[in-house]
Amino acid sequence: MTADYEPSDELGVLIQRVVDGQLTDAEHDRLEAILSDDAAAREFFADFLRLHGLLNYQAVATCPNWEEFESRWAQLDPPAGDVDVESGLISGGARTRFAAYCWRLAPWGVAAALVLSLGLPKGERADKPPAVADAGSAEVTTGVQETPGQQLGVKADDPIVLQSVSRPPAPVATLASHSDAIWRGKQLSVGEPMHEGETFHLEEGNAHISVGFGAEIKATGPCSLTFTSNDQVRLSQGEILVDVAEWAKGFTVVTDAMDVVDLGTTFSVSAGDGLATKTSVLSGMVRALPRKTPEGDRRSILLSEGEGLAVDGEGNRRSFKRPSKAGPDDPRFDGPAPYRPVTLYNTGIGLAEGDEDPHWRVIAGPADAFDGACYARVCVPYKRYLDNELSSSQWVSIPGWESAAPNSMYTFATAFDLDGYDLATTRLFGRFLADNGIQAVRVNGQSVRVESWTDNVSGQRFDGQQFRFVNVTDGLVDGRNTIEIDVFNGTTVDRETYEAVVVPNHMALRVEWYAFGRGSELASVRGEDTKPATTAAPTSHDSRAGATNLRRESPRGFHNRRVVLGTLPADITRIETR
Amino acid sequence: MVELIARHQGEILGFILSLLYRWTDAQDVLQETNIALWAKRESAPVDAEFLPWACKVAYFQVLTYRKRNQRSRVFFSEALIGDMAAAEANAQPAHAARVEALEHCMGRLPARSASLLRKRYYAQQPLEEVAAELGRSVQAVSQALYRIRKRLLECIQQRLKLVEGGVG
Repeated sequence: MTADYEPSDELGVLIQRVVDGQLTDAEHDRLEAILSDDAAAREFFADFLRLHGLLNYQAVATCPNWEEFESRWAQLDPPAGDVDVESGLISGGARTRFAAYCWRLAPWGVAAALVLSLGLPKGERADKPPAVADAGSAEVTTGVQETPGQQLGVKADDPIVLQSVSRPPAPVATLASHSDAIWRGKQLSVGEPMHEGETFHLEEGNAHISVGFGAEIKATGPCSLTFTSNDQVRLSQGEILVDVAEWAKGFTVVTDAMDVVDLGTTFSVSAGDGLATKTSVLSGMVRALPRKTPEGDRRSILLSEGEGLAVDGEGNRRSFKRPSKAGPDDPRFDGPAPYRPVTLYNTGIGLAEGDEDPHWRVIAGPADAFDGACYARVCVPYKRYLDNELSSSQWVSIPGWESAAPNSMYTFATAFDLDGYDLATTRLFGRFLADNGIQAVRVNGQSVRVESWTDNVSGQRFDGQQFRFVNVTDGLVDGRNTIEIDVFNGTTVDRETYEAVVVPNHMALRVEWYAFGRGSELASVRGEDTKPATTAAPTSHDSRAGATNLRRESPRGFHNRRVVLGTLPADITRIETR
Repeated sequence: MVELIARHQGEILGFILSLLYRWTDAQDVLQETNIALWAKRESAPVDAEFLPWACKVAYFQVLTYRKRNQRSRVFFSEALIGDMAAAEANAQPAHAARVEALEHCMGRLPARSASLLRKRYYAQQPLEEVAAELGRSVQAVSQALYRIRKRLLECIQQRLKLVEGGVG
């Protein structure tokens, strides 16, 4: 050990260069000379590099949820004397324990995955998968052909991949109409879905984009737009006119110079090409948040009808007035009613682990191992599962889900209401994650076209990459609808013999919905009140549903009958119309 | 056997790094070493004997790798690699003690030091990015990281000494 050794400044600098990956050939020669001549320097160098290796390894192999680490760390009291980066080591309390937790030896599953993904000869891996020491079992495929999705499952075992796991992007908007539009790259057709994360360059012409959250965007080329989430669009270049429905308050247009947050309004934003970014309000109100705030100036500015704001790259601001000729009655907004999110409940949303989910039931299971229909229960995730996320979705299953029957099918169901929606325009996208897969999906008893899947390889993880999309457009009816999902539970492998064993094992489901449709013309023809329905508890994609403060006319087709959408009556049973 | 290999990945990687020092080279050699360890699993010792044995296997993988790549970049001489490996293979503290010491010392870092280490190691942020985020020069961040690791190393060594002496 080198506890009393003090390296020379030169050696210190050379070691810095080594760990920073910056060592030149000349510096290499100098380092080699120092190390060759001095045994203590060799020992120090070796110890330092070993620590560097251990830190790197420990860091990527432990504590996969980085955001959780950051937030939990921030909540802990800093230890006394926490003053300077160079101040050395001090005693600590809660942080000491937490750091110990997060920098502990890699959990076995991840460490084993590292070895498996890096180290084992292919032949060994294929015919004799090594066991997982404390898992009890590792699940394997039986009688199911391997798919590209299963390959992804293996890849997700890589701890570095784990950090960047994200869900497949959801469709958040559609092209409602266009005239003389020329798009860079692939040309879009009316009705084509636009996904979060996708960028669209309108070179010429005009386009009307309907955002599922409840915003109508009129774009004139040249214009570049990226849908960064279901309620946010980034404008890199060009000008757009945005008309936001009252339930979509908070819809945000992001530019390099400022964010414009809707507070129930119609507004325009222009950006790009080195000019000042401008926003002006045609009706209602927006909150403009320039990225840079000159000292002493307001952080955000409220703009109402007829007001505008220009901000340049340096944060300099200029207010202006614009004649409010245009508004909701602007002919540019002639067209269909805006989209409105359909209230569908993601599994386990807002519930604690162990709670029964009032919106999801398990209605069928294998004849000899199913105790009858019951509410699905929020599970504490198995260690190879994606973590539960209270505000987006959580794993749900039957009581005793850790020992569900192998090679068996369990049917989950949820219900929702489409009263007041134009069914022809209603789209449901479900993002599904299931241990071990989905065999079928039915809407009101009718099969939805789904390519069934089974994720069931050795050491299978169920992370973001295993989410699959199921698209539902047919079979929907006015009023109450029911969706049934058949979850297939696979088998396990004996860790001693490596043979597949048909024994009870984990089974669970996770679903996230993106659903929207336009108001029904029929509803307004019937003379019903057109105020929007009051929705039940918000879902992750519908967090602002139920807002009531706005002055804009409500869209056509939504009536004011108080309904609690999506709750599932206890008496729901399998629909026998297949 | 897989458990033994997995449990010692950090140490084996550190050992390889000390002989080759480039991160990407060390990762390649770790992969090759894992394959070699698995192939030799029938003769693998257990418990405290495992790590020195694994380091010997890794040492030969380092030499092979060096030979294969020495035309494209500089490596330490075989003699220096031999000296360092000989000293290290027998000087590895027990796995559990090393991890315990690291945990102990990580927990005693000031928040800002821990944050810097996390940026560099956990988030794998390049130095330039960390420097830009903190509004400091790359050189200053590199130096700060060096000092933090050096203090951490001193703490680990003191801790191991205490534990070996039965005090800690």
